[in-house]
Amino acid sequence: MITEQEVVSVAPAAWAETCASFAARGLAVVDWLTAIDRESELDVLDVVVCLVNPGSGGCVIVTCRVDANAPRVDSLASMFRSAEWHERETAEMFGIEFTGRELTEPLLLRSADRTPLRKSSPLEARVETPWPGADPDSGRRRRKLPPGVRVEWVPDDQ
Amino acid sequence: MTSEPSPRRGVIALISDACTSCMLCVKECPTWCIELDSHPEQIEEPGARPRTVNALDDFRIDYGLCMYCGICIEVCPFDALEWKPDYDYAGQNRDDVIHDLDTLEHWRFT
Repeated sequence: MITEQEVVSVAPAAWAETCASFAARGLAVVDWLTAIDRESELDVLDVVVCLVNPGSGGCVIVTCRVDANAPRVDSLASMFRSAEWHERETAEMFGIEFTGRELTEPLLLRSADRTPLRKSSPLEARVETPWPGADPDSGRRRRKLPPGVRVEWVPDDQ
Repeated sequence: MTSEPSPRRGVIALISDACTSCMLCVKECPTWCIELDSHPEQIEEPGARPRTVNALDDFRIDYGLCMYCGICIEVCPFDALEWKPDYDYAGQNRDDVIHDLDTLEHWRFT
């Protein structure tokens, strides 16, 4: 059964403080933490955390909106041990800096300049591989591109 | 114990008579494992204006890429694709798991 979850949106400055207040009310475990990059709003990223109460099963979702050009938010890792892994992954995949973390080593990727889950990150394999769904009769270039591939990623000779 | 989902996701069968070559399945497939070839054909019937339809030439599903998500079956407006429970179609080489039009049709009747 899916129950409606409470969603609380806060300013980045209030992020850690808000999560701490929920932890004090028993929502003491980070179930998951990630970020959302929207195609329609490329200049912002939403950091999202789901806090759960392991006793009652209740949960709350806390979000904060950060500047996509300098994404920075306080780390929750010292407060919630379960945030450790998720913050590392989110930092790597979205290029978000979680300030105050002790462990900053990348989880998977060794090159720090890639942020694969950002919409602005080119999908190289999808650009190079011919898309079986391309409409060969369409004169419009955009119609020949698969979903998620931007026209500016494609070299002019393709 | 969880019950087995029904119908089982064994293999995808193609009902080529129902396929209009609209390419929706090809475009929606997240793994790009479907390829479809068609050509336009003029249909002339007495008492009606001639109309152009897309005639299906070939339809290939690469089971080496397919992740059995079933999106192609969901999006098909003409129910030309359906799940069948067969699963025993491992191949000796890469090409064996690319099923063409005849193979996909054959799964309907197993």
